[in-house]
Amino acid sequence: MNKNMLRYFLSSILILATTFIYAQDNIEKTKGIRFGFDVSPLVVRLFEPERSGLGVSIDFEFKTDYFGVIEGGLLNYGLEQKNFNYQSSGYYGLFGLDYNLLKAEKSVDNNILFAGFRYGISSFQQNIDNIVINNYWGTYNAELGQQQITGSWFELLGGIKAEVFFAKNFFIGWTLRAKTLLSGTKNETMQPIYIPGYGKTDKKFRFGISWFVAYKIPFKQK
Amino acid sequence: MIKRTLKLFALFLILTYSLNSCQADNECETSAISHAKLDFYIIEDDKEKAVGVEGISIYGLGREDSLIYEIDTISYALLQLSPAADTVGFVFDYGSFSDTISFLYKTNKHFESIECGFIANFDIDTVKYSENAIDSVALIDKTITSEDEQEHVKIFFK
Repeated sequence: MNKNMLRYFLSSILILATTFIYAQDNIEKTKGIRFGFDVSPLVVRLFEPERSGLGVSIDFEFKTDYFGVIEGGLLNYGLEQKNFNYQSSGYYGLFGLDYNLLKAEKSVDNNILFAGFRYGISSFQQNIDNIVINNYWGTYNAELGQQQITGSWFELLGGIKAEVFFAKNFFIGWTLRAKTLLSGTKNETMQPIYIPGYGKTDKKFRFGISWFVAYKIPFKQK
Repeated sequence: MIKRTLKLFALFLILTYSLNSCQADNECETSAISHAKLDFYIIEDDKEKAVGVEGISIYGLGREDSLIYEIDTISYALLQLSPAADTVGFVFDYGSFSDTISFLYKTNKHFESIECGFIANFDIDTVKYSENAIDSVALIDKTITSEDEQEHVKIFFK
């Protein structure tokens, strides 16, 4: 296990512990459509200013313990290096399923511990300028201009969604994601450095974490 | 309750920081510059033989102020083409006389890495030369990248 994976693993245990402590214990199980807001870009922006974005999600329990999930967002990634500027910005969408692993013991409340998968696609624009190449003949400046690119990837994920103690139908949670790129790296001039929704393309597999707050609009119980 | 919520938020911040703090910027470690490698030969008994040329200076045409080799004894030359042009010339100064070798080429911008940025690779189209000390020139490998160290051009001296 490398250093990064260890960090993810430890933090996931920590978050798991904390979220369940703060989660409510006894509440009637309700069904409804849950609307989520991805807060990770806001938090990550403090430490990774080259990335900014917005993400939302919708999930619905169409069958006991099975949730259909749609996520989407827009993301802007800008990198200013000494010898080139890179910008990647665009939209992404994720479609998939979550399965609740906490069915038997915890069926009375709305907390779920889930495992699932997603298929992700992104359509984005890549812009490269201020390229500087120095050699014997002096300094050469160039730009590659804008390119429209699409990429797709697959995610296996797990996480929790817990109803908070102070507000009914209000959830917090996190999702740990293992991603692998399916397409989007083949490009005539250069492969994209960053695909919105996926991340940096320098590794075949990526791990990611996202935090969210969500509100469930409950269906009226008959 | 509010205290607890704040604690939870603080924990999120700390975790996010710990997850991202390891992604520090690395410096570019490779000196990624593409060179054309010109090996020097003479023909002896119908066979090519590597040769060292004594007292040679080499500079870019129009860049007399910046010598690449200065009164040196060398058996090959590593020369950089210019990404800003499609042709450059080099002067081989033997002291009392000289030759000029010109390259016609295409430049390809190649993305090396986030740390190193872009480098210029080249596809040589033609090599032209004067025939004072040079007998002939053979273009062996047209593609110049920063990774290859092999011979691109053979220069046969008289």
